[in-house]
This record gives sequence, structure tokens and C-alpha cells, in this order.
Amino acid sequence: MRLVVDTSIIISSLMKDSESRRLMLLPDLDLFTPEYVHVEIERHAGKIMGYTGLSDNEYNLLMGNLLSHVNVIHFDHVEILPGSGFLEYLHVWDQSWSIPNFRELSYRPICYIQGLSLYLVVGPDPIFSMRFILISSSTIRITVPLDIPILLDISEEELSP
Amino acid sequence: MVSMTLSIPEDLHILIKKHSEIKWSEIARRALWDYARKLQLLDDIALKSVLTEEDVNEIHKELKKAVHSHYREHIE
Repeated sequence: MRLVVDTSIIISSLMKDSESRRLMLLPDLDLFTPEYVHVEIERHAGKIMGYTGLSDNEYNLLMGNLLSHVNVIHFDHVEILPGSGFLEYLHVWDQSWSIPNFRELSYRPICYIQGLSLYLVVGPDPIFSMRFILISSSTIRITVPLDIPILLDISEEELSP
Repeated sequence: MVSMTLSIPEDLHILIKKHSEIKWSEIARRALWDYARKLQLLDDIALKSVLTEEDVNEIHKELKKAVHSHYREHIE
């Protein structure tokens, strides 16, 4: 299964008892995140490390190992769409997927992958609402703020339109 | 010692059969050790972490603002 992980998942993986870390280290998941997420995690490394209370070595070992499980989606493969275009896609998705509370995502920044490209719909709110995006190689699968256990309980076949 | 049974894809099995000189159970055992040790090491490090849910939210917001500003630059 291929998933796009949000920054909150990566950061919460540094917590003592972290379900996110368990998920990120599952070898049968292919995880992805946009290039800028890696850039900003690197840029904020000192601050993040300060919150964790870990030493330089411990932080680098932990974060390095976690990020080694996350594939970088280079910016060349990212297409940015303005938030106003989101409704157009929401219409399509709404018909394809019967996702509870899907409309609550309107105008929130959200991203999804189609084929090899990551599409980012950027709205006024900088806090992305989604946590994971399930993707496939050829079709949009789903983009909703699912909780981890729910997502893991759903197979790709079950999500197919 | 305990025994484990593994399921592998057919195409992998075809490759493996070409190299009967390899003790594949040893390869699997080493891979299991490597991954298990890594998980243990990361768990041990994380045990020392004092990061809280509130901290995660704060860092998340800050990172998201920074990432978001990169994307906005591309739109504007």
C-alpha cells in the first residue's frame, strides 16, 4: 500500500509511545511525502530536537531512520493548484467515493497523487486537514483525514470505485 | 528454536530455486535480526523522548506554515 504521510505523523513518531512510528516502520508500506516537508524538517531540526529532549545523536538516528522509510516526492512531480479549483475535484471525488464528512474538507489545503504526480490544492489555511492519502499508480484513491486504524483496516480493493 | 513459515511471491520463488547453494533460511534469519534490532534500537531511543501531543501540534503547525508558504510562492 502506498501512502502520503503528513508532517504530524512524522513528528509524532518521535513520541515515546507512538502508533505513528509503528506504522511508519511497517515494511510493506510505501510512504511518500513532498520534498518541502523534508526540507522544513531539516531546517527545524534544532527546535524539534529541543522538544524531544534527545541528544544530537539520538535525534539523528531516530529521525534519520524514520525518514529513510519515506520516499521524497520531488517538486518536479508536484503540481500546485489554487484552492479555488478544489471544488471541481471535490465534485468528482464526491461521486466516486461515499466518504463521511468529505465536504468538511472544502477549501482546506489538500494534496493527492495521480499517476506519478502529486497534486497539491493550496487554500488559505496552512494546516492541511488530511493525515494520510492512499494512492495508487493510476487513479486517485482517497484523500480524507482518516485515523490510522481505520485506514489500515481498508484494503485497496475495497476502496476501488 | 522456533520454526516460521513464510509466504513468498511466485517470481521470487523462481529466482530462489536457481540458487540452491544458498541457505535461504539463513538469509531470512539475518534479515529478521537486522529489522528487529533496528526496531528495538529506535524504541529504546524513543523511550527517552519527552515530546508531547501538544508539542507535536505546535511543531506540525509551524512546519505546515513553512511548507505552505513554499507552495503559495509557486501559485503567486
